Amino acid sequence: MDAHDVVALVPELMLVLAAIVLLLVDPLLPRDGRRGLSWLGVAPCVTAIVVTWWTRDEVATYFNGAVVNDRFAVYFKILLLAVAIVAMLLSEKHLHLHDRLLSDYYALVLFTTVGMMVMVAAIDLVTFFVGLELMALSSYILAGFFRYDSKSIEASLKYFLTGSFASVFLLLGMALLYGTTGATSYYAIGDAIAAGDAPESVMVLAVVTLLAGFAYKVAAAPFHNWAPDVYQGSPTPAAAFLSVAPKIAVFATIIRFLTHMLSQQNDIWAPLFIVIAIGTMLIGATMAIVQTDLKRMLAYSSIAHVGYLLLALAAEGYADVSFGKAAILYYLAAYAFMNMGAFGVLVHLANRADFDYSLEKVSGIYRRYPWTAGIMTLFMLSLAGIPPTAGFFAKFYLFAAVVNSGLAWLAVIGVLFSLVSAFYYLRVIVYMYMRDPDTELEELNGRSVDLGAGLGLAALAVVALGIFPGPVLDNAQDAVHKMFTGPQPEAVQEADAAPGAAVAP
Amino acid sequence: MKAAVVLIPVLPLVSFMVTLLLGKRYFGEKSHYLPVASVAVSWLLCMFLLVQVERGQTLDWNAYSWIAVGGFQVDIGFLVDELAAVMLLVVSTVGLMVHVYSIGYMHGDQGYYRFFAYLNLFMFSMFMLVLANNYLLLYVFWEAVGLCSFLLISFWFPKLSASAAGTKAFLVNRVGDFGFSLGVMLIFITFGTLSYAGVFDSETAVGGGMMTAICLLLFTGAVGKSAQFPLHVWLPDAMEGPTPVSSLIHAATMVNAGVYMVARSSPLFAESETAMLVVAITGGFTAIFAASIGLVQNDIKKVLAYSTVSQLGYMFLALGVGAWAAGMFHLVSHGFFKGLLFLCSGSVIHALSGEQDMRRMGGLKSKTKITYWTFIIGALAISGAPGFAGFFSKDSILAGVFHEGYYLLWAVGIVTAFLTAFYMFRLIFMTFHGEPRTDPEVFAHAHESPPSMTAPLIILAVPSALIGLILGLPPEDGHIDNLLHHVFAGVLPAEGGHGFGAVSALLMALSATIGLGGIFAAWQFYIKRPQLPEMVKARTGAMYYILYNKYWVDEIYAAVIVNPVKWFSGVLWRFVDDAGIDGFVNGAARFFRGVGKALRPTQSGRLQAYLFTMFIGALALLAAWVLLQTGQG
Repeated sequence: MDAHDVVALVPELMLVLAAIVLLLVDPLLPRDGRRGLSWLGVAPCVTAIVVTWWTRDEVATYFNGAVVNDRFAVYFKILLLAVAIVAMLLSEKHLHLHDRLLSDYYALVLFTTVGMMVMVAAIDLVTFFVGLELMALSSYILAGFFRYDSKSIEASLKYFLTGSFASVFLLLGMALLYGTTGATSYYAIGDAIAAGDAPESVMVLAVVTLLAGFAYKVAAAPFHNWAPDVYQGSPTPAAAFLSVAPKIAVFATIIRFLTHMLSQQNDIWAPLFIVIAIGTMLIGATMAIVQTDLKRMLAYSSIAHVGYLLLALAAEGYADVSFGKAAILYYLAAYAFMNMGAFGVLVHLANRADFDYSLEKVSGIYRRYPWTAGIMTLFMLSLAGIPPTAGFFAKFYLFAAVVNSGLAWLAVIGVLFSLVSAFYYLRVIVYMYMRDPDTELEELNGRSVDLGAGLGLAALAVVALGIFPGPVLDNAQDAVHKMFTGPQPEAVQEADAAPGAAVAP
Repeated sequence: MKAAVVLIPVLPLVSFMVTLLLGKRYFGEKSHYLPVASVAVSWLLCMFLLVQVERGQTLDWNAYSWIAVGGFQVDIGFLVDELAAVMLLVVSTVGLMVHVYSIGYMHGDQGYYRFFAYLNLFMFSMFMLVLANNYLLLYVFWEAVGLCSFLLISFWFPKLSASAAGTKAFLVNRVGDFGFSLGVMLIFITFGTLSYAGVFDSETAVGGGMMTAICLLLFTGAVGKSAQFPLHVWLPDAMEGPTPVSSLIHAATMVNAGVYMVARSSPLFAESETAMLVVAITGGFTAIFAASIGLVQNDIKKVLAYSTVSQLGYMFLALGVGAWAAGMFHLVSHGFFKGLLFLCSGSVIHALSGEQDMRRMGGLKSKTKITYWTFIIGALAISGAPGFAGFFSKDSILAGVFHEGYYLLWAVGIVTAFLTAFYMFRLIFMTFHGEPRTDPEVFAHAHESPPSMTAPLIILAVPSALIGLILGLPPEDGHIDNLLHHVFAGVLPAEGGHGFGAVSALLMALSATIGLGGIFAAWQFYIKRPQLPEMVKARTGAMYYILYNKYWVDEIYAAVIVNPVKWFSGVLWRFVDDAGIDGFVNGAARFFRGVGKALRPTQSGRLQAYLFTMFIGALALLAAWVLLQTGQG
C-alpha cells in the first residue's frame, strides 16, 4: 500500500471522516432545535459523487488487487451515493417526530454506504466480505434505530439473525471457491476454473450456496421472509434506504461474480435463477395483493421487482445480449428512486398522528393534500411500469433483453406478473382519489425542506429517467462494456512488483 | 441557432407546466403573464430563424437519441429549412396574437389559468411538429396537437355540446391518425429509417404500388387533421371551443398540419401519380363542397369553419397538381387572414354577449368600428380582392392548376372563389349592415372590445392585406417561390416554371373579376334587394334544403357507422366484456388473491420458521438443479 492506493479511496474516506465527525459533534449539540444535521451527511456524499465521476476513466486496481476503479464501480458508487443522499433527506423530519434525531443515524447511513461502495469495487473475496459485513452490521442497527419501539427492535434482531445465517451460506460458497482454486482474487479464481481446476460437484455446491446467500441479500424467494417484517418494523426512512441500497450493491456483486468467476457455470446458475425468479415474482405479486399495510405492500412489491431483475440475470446465462446487463443497471437506478419515493411519501404522511400505514388511511387524501397524492401517483405509476415514467423504460429494456436472449416465454411470464402488480399499485391511486376519508383529515404540519428536497429529487429522477433515459443508459452501457476484466498476463507481474500500477483494461 | 431551436418549443412547455401547477393558487388573474411572455420570446426566436434561413442557413440536427433498441432508433431531432421557417412564421405570429387576444376574451373565466396552460401546451406541440426531423416525432406531436385540440374544444366541458364536439373531433381524427400511423410504419418497413433525410435520400428502390400505399396512408392522416371530405365533419362542431382556439388551432395552425405534412413528404408524393391525383381531387372537391355549405349557414363561426375547410381544400388542390409553393403560399396567407377573421368574429360575439346567430345581428358597423374594418380587410383578403393576400396566393394556385392542364379542377376552383367571396360578404352584410335584428337591450350594450382584443386584430390585418405583395410579387416568381424552391427543387420540373405570360395575366384578371363579382352579388342579395335571398330559397327549395343540412353527411355517418358501432359495442359490452373479459379479469384477481392468502401462513413472523425456510430453500435449489440435470440428461 502506498499513497497512490489511498488516493483511490478518497470518496470512501470522505464518508468515513464525515461519519466520525457526525458521531463526535452529537454530544455537543443541544437536545432541542437541532436541524440541518442531514446536510453534514449529504455534503460529503455530493463531493464523493463529484470525485468519483472525476476519476471515472482512471481504470486501475488498488491494494494488491483488492479493489478496482472501473466504469462499473463508478456507476454503482454514484448510484449508491445518490440513494444515500435521498435517504438522508427523507429522514430528518421523521427522526425528529420520534424524538430520535441523533447524528448516529446519518453516520450509520454513511457507514452502510461505504460498505456498499467497497462491495461494488471489490475484486477479491475477502475485500468483498468485509464490505458486505460493514454494510450488513450498519443496516441492522439502522433497522433498530427506534430502540424504544419493540417492533423496531424485533426488526433489527430478525434482520441480524437471518442475515448472519445468509452470511454463512456466502462464506461457505466462497470457502469452496478458495479451497478448489487456492485464490481469492476474482480473476485468479476465474482463470483457475477456466483451466479446469475445480471439480464439477464442488462447483455445483459453491454456486448453490452462493446463490442462496445472494438470494437472501436481495430478498428473493424462498429467502425473502425477513424483508416484510424488517421493512415494516424499521423506521420508515430507514426502510426506504434498506429496501433499495443493499440490493443495488448485491446485484453489482452478483454481476461481477457471474462475469469474472462463474461465466462458464451458466448451465448451473441460469436455470436456478429462472426458478428463483419465477418464485420471487409469484410471492411478491400475490402477497402484495393481500396486504393492507402499505409498508408491507411495498416490501412485497420490492420482492416482485427483484424477481424481474433475476429474470434478466437468468437470461444472461443463455445468450449474450449487448444491452442485457445494461438493462439491469438501468432498472436498478429506476427502481431505487421510485421505491424510495414511495416510501418517502409514507414518511411524509406519517406526520399525521393517526397515520398507521394502512391502505384505509390514504383514502381521499388528494382533496386535502393534492401534491402528496400527485407525487405518490407518479411513483405508483412508475412502479407499475406505465409510461412515461422511469419504471416503464426500465421494464421495457429489461424485458426486451430477456426476449432477445431467446427466452420470450420467460418475458411473457414477467409481463403477466407485472400486470398483476398493476392491481395493487393502482389500488393505492384509487384509494387516494376515489374513496372518502373515514375521518376528517387534518393539516399535515410536515413542511420540511429536507423531506421536500428528498421527494423532489426522487420524483425528478423518475420523470427524467422516463423521458430522457439516454445519459444514464449510456453510462450503464459503458459500465458493462468497459468493465475491468482482469489484469493481462504480463501485467500480473507488474502489479506484483509495483502494487497499484495502472493496468490497461 | 441550436439554442434558438431548442428554446422555441421549450419556453411554452415550461410556461405550460408552471401555469398549470401554480396557476390556480398563485397566479389567478395574472395567469397570462408567463404564457404571453414565453410565446413572445418564442416569436422573436422564430423571426431570428426566419432571418437565418433567408440567409441560406439550414439545420438538420439530431439533438438526442431517445430510444435505441437493436436496429430501431428514435432521435429527437430538429430540422429547420425554408418550409419549417415559413410554418414557424405563421404559427408563432398567430399564436402570439391569439395569446394576447385571449387576455381580453377569456377575462373572468373560471378556467383562465387552465386556458393559457393549454394554449401553451398547444404551442409547444405545434412547434415540435413543425421542427421535427423524422416521421415518428412528427407523429407523436401530431397526436399531441390533437390532444390539445380536444382539451380546448371541450374547454367548457360542463356544456354538453362542447364535450360532445371534443369527443367527435377526437374520434374522427383517430380514423385519419390510424391511417397515418400505418403509413409511418410502412415507411419504416420500406426504408428502415424514419428520418426525413434518410427517407428522401434513400437509394432503396420502391415499387410504385408501395409508394402509392404509403402516400395514400399519409394522406389519410392529412384528411383527418386538415378536415377534408369525408372526414371534415369534426371541424364545424369544433367551433364549440372558445373563439381564440378556433382561430389558432382550427384555422391558422393545427389544421394546416396536414398540408404541411404532405408538402414535407413531397419527394414521396412526387413518385406516385395516383396519390397526387387523389390529393388534387379530394382538395378540389372539398373546396367547392364546403363552400356551398358555407353559403347558407347562419352561425357566424360555422360559416368561417366551412370556409376553412374549403380553403384547406384549395391548398391540397395546389399540392396535388404539383404547385407546391403555391399551396404553402396560400397556407401562409390563409393562416393570417383566417386567424384574423375568427378573432373578429370573436369580437363580434363578445360585443353581443355571446350571440352567434347572424340572423340576430346586423347594424353593428357603427358600434364596433375597429372590428368592422379589420373584418372587411380579412374578407377582402379571402375573397381575392386585387392586392390583398388571398388574391396572390389563390391566383397562384389557380394558375398552377390551369398550367398543369387540370381544366376541370380549375373551373371548380374558379366557382369556389366566387362562392367564397359571396358567403364572406353575406356574413359581413348580415353582421354589420342593415337594421339591427338583435334584442334591443343587447344591442344597446354592444360595444367595441378592449384594446387587448382589438390590437391583435389591427396587427393581423397588416399581413392579411400586405403579405401577398411582399411574398407574391412578381406572380409565380415571388419571394416565397424562390424561398421554397430549395425545398421543392427535387420535385419540380427541371425546365423551371411556365413563366408569367399573357395566359397568366388573363387568369389573374379573371380571378379578380370573379372575386369582385362574388362581393357584388352578395351586395345585391343582402343590401340592395334583401328580398332576393327568400326568393332564391323558394325557387331552389330542394337545393337550399340539401345545403342547409350539409348534405346530411353527419346523419349518414350516424346511420351507417355510429349507430351500428354503438349497437355492436353494446353487444361486446354485455356479452364479451361483462361475461367474458370481466369474468376473466375478476377470476384472475380472485385467483391471485387466493394464492396470496394460501401463501400467507409462510409469513408467520417466527424467526425459527424463517431460518428453517432458508435452509430448506438452499436444499431445494440443490434439488432443483439435480432435477433439471436428470431432466436434460
